[in-house]
Amino acid sequence: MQGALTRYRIIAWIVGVILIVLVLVGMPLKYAGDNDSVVAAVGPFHGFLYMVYLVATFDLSRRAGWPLGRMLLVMLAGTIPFFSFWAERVVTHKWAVRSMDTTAAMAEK
Amino acid sequence: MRALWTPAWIARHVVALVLVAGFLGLGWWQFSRATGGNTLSWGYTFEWPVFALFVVFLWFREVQQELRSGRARQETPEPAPEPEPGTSAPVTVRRPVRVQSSSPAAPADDPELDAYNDYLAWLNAHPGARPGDYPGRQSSTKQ
Repeated sequence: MQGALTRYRIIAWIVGVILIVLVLVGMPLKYAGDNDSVVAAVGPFHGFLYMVYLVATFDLSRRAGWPLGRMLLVMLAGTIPFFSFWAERVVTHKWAVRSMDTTAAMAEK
Repeated sequence: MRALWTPAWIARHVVALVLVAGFLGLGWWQFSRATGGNTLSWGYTFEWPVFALFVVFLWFREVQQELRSGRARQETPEPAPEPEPGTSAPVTVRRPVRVQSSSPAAPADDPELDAYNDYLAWLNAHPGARPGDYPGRQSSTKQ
């Protein structure tokens, strides 16, 4: 559980940072500067890492016992620039923590 | 089984079918692009079927969960009235254990604890006194 959360947080940050690079650097260069080298180089890489993000999110959601809708919500949150960092915070401080508390309480009983 | 044919579940089946068909279609489209010379499309050609499989997997898992919870709902009414008759064995086992574990602690003569309680009683009886003024235990000499 803890390991899955750490993996999720790491990949969420990497994907979030690369997405911001794409939006703030790559897109202006491509559409305003007519130079798509950044998008061509970073884009597929980001796509691949987003697949890793999906796998990590699925793994975390399975271990934390999230409902299906929440898992899809977290997966989609990774596609929105800037918002993804806030989503990572919510997941880490609310959803993952709470489920760990309940599993600990269940283990005590 | 009837739980899987409520309107909400029919909608879920339809969504799953549409997603799988759509993802497979997108995979086929990427395959045609890949054979047309777009190398990056080879990756997407395999990615979309994986997405379709993932949808199938999620659908399967949700259906299983629904069937399992439906079975649990049928079984739960039976154990619910159990605690009221005398079949509450786990509770009766636990309570004596708790009483036993606490009762030997109460009457146990702990000379250290008694001395400390005597010291605290003396401090309470002599407000303003310093700990160094404590003359020692007198109650033990009386007994």
